[in-house]
Amino acid sequence: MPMLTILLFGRLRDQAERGRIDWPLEAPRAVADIVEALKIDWPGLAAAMAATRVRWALNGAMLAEDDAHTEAKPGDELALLPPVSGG
Amino acid sequence: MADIRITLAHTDFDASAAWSAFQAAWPQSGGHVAFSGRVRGEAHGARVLRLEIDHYPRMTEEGMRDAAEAVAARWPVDALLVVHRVGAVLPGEAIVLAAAASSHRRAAFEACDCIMDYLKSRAILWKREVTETGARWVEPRAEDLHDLDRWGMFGG
Repeated sequence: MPMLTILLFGRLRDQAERGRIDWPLEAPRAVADIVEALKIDWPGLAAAMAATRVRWALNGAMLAEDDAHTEAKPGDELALLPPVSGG
Repeated sequence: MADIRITLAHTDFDASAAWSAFQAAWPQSGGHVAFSGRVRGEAHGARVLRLEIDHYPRMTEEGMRDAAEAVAARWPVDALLVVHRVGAVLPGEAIVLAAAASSHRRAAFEACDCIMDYLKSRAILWKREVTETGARWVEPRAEDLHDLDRWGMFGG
């Protein structure tokens, strides 16, 4: 089955107890829709995402925070990035 | 064209040696500035056991390089060096070294300051602080974001 790879980092990885979710994806679909569907399947992630600011990156490119249209295709890699901190 | 070196270190690194080598590599620049950060032994009154730094290999190093290039485009630097740890880092170990070489003192200070603000609040890294009383994900503080805003770079 065609899949989308969803990568989780930081507190989202902790919440899901995994760093990667293989998400069935038959055809291109807006990332915003995919994230909404993901929240339904993973209530813990939905709660964690509601409590913090999460950015999306598709195939290594950051999406705008209000991006409602960019579509992910089967085989793509979608990363969910909670607030970053280094140094 | 500035020489930019970015390294993600997966094990403990010798910040003093890296700093010495950087200075030796750019003797003609005239000015060298570095910031070296180490893991503190205590946080919020509790003994720190370690920091765990998560990264996204596909984006982290490239993001740091883009940031360093933006810094080099703004200040007349000859070279920029960033070494940042990922993985588990113990108290006292080096977590970051940022260095700038320039013939202008002010440029070297500001370039180093600016890249550190990027690393603190924008680099694709997640930092989990594990102390004897529990663990928490660290997020940039208001003052960190304020510091970043000074440059008008790297988005809001």
